[in-house]
Amino acid sequence: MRRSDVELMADVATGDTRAFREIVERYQRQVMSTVYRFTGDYYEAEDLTQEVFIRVFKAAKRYKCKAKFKTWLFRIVINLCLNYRRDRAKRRSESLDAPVVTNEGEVMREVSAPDGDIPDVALEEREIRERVRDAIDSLPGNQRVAVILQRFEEMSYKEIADALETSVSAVESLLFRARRNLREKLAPYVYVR
Amino acid sequence: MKCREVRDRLSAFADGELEGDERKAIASHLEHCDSCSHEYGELLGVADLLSSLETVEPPPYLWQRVIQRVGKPERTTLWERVAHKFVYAPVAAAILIGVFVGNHLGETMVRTFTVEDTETLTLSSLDDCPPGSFSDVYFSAWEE
Repeated sequence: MRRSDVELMADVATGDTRAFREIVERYQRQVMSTVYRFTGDYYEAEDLTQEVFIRVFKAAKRYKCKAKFKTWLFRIVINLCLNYRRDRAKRRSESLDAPVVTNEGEVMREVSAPDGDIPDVALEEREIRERVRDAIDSLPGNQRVAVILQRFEEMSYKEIADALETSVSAVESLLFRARRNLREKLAPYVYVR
Repeated sequence: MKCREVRDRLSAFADGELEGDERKAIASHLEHCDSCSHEYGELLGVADLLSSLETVEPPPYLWQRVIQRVGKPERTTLWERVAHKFVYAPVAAAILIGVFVGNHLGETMVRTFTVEDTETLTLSSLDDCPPGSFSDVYFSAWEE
């Protein structure tokens, strides 16, 4: 029988590595995908994902079953991602020529074309993804978190509010502003439905 | 509802966060207002673009790395430890059975062969013309 997250975490708190393994296997895909959307780098995402679960193990005793486990987990994910972003901003001296590692292997960084300057030929999917990633990357931290959790983790506004420790109306406002920013940055590629 | 009020809540509307009268009012407004409807279409277009971002699979060794970094040996049940210890037991048993059966079969064949040999390998069989052979019949005919 499938044990609930709360039951597993109660065992993890006692140092039970089998319960911990189940938690890791249950959430590793979601965590890794979310972190990857933040970093855009497969190996960085892998490293941060490991760090997330190490923190889960170490903080298991502090987990209170009043909070939904996924919300608590994503609070850790968000903190790590935002810290990663701050650290990266500090050491932003990396060369623009350096290749970026994705799950499709190494790709060369491409400098975005100026706004409105779209080539006649349809852009390759990968190029579009790069632009989308750049646009998300340019959002302020909390807007970025809100978009990723809402769009990719399909979390409700209430869940996002809990993860960000803010109100539902603040989340709505964050998403509203985030989308307005994304619409401006991605205007040449947006297909109006 | 006024356009400004609708636009402020379009995100929540698109995300299915609104219910009841407010949802109906915005849906109705979008049917009649081209400008808001266009903005809503753009919002959905942005959502489509975001969907183009791929998901990634964690590496198969992720758990091993995590447990190594946690620095705690993985706790296993007695059965898991026994199973792990004797993971080669079925292979060893198969080999033993193979040796036993092979040995038994070999012995049986040798025994059968030996019986046949005693029946056929008499001293007369070493003669130039063993009894019953074609040459024996031929020379016997000549002698007669």
